[in-house]
Amino acid sequence: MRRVGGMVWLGWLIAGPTAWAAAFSVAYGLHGLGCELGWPAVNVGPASLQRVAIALPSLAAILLCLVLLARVKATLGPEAGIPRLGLWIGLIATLYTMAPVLVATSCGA
Amino acid sequence: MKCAALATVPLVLAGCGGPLSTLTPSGPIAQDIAWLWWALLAGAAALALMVFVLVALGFGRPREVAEGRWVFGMGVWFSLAVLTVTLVGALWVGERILPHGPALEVQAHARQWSWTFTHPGAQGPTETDGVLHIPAGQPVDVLITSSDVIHSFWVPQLGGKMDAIPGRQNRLRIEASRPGTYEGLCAEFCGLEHAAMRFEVIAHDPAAWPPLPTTEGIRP
Ligand SMILES: [Cu+2]
Repeated sequence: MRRVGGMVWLGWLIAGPTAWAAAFSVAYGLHGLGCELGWPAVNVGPASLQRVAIALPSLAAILLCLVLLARVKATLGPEAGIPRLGLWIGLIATLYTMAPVLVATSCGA
Repeated sequence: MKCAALATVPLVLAGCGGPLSTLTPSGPIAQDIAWLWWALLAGAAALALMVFVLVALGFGRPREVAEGRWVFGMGVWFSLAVLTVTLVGALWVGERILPHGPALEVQAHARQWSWTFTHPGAQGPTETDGVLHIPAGQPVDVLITSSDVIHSFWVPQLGGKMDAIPGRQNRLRIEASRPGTYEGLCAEFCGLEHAAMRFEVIAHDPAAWPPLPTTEGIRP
């Protein structure tokens, strides 16, 4: 088990919340853009382009958290505890933020 | 000290009533919003109570604490449960109050610092300043516009709040259960006279709708 530097450890620590924050910001921006461009009326398979576009960044964030969760122990060894919690927080926060996207009306109509 | 604190209670509670209170709803949409408010208050109170109990425990003599039960049982699962219930409640209410389905349409136009309302009528549209006329007992969609800065249309007893944005038309659904006069206000700071940017909503008996247009606007 090699030692991991302080900055790298810090990176692992904030990876989960950062993934959530990035997904949330991108989804927020795409939501406004989609309303302006009429995405709710465009169908992509069973869902609208609007839902797909807003959900994709969140799915990417969830995937990223899962991948990092699978590697955190191998990379950080005994110091993996708190970064692992951070990744779980990012994962669950992203699930909660994404859930409304799947059911709620978009663009207020 | 305790007396002084208790004396402020009626003062604070006085804010819960009156014509501009969301806690005295007069229509189904405002009622839904009020229910959501009470649900959020209950959730917040339950979480606050848990924290107070933890603080109180901290003042006692040192003891063995079941760490897993507090950290995961209460800290994580209890908090998540409250969050989940209130999230589902908020989504439910949010969907119910949206302008789905047909409704009578009126227009609200905001400017610094007054409101003009336009109503459809048999003899063409009627315009009034500072007073919006609607029929009671049916949903009404307010189409909201602004000619200068961002304002916000809000009648706390009849529905939610919607911004008036220059260059855009926003739609807000309101409904009054019974005939009466309700108070509205601009809910987005818009300049020096913002606080005086009030208006009235008069809900008419559906049998007497539409009211007669006159030269000064609409007569009930
Ligand atoms: Cu205003």
